[in-house]
Amino acid sequence: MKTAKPTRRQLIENCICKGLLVAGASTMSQNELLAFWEQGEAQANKPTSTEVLGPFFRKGAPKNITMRISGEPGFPLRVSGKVSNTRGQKVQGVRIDMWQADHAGLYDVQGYRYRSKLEVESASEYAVETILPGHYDDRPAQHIHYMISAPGHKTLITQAYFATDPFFDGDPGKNFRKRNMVSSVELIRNVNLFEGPGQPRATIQFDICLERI
Amino acid sequence: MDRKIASDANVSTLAFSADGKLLHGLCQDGKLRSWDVGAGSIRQTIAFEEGDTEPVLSPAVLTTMAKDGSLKSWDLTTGKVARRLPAAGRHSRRVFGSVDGSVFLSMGGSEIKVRALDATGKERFVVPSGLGGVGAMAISPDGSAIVAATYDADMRAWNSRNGELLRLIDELPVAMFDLKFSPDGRWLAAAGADRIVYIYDAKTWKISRKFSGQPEMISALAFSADGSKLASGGFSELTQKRPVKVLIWDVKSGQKVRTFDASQRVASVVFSPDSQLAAVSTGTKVIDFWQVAG
Repeated sequence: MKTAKPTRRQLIENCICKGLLVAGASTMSQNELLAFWEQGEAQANKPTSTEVLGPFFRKGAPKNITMRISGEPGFPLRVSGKVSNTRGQKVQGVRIDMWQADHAGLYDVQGYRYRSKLEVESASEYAVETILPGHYDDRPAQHIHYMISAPGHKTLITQAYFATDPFFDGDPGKNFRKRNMVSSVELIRNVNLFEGPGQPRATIQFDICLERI
Repeated sequence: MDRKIASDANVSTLAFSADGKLLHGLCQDGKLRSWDVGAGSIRQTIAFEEGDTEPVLSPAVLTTMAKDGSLKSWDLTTGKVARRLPAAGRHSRRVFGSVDGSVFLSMGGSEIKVRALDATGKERFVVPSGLGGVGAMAISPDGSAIVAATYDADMRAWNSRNGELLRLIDELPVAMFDLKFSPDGRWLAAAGADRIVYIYDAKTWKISRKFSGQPEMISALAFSADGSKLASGGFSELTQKRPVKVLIWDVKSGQKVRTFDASQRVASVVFSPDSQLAAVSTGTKVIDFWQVAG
């Protein structure tokens, strides 16, 4: 039978109690040592806020850096970002599942349209070409789902939102909680629009910060 | 539609009484209403106590959770609380049923745990489950196994007495939204986002058959009391409010035998004890009845 893994804090406390972790030649007490460690954690980067997983996740998506489908409607979007952990370190072995609705607000529940599972290289950066997701009645703010896993880190389930979405009435800071839609305003990203020689396109940057186990 | 009952409030979960004379409906106004199936009239209304949440109706048992986390089991005949488990449900998110006095609950937001309490409210075990929320849970008819499906598309079956993991089922591509054991405990039907009904052998936990043909996702399942038929109710990918289908399958052959319309996402489908009638609720004020025999 599987048992729950101890948290890092429990491990550190355990190590201190057992004398496995000592502060060099200093004379710090166990409590001082724990406080020192906690202070270090408090200064660390904040992990990306979580969001609901929702009912539409599908396992086994292709490793696809282009989710956009040639000839299908939808405003072209490039999503990119960096993956780090709360210590600001690059993370090895990152896998990112991304899934979203098509331009009409429909998820492909029988196949893998607008779904991808990325393997992030050691540079800890990712990018996908897709479209702005459509709106649908049950969750009417445009969003892209993420599930991110990496060895030694807590699996992160979250969603990226768009500041240009009419759902936010031009003020995401004020309206992100409308209809209990968004858990944290940080998940709403500014959208940059480009009008190049081809068709116009949008980009967002969605950096990810994972929590260590 | 063969017949319908109009309710004063939106109805979610349904259950027939053992003699088939009453249909109980869990209503979204915090009440359980019981209708006389023959006459279509209200026979009894049970109002939950102030602050009660998480009502769960499994055939003969109604459970609610009080503000302080204590659990109440209601006697559907008298309409009174028959048993309380003091503060047993604290930190729990959802109750999913009880068997022989034991209660099973899920807890956690993204990392799910399943918890079992004995008849005195003492914790028997807590076991880790999947991620992202619980789509469905089921208890085998003899009470020996419990199964939970999580939104990360995994399912787990445990020994209900000691929490031993009997099987991690990670072969399904999508999340399951309902799980139902056949009345003889031989099969476990699972269905959800990919529109397919998976029939598992509940001894080996392997897929025995798949039923394809539902035109939308599947939100509700029911076996008939004689085990010969299975009903599946739909859930449109685009919105809960779209009309969907209720399909009746022959369990042996996997053939579709009847198709009915439902006004929106099926919240619950149940067969009468004589397996002749199916009742369907959609979270609206209407309960539909369909003749399924013949």
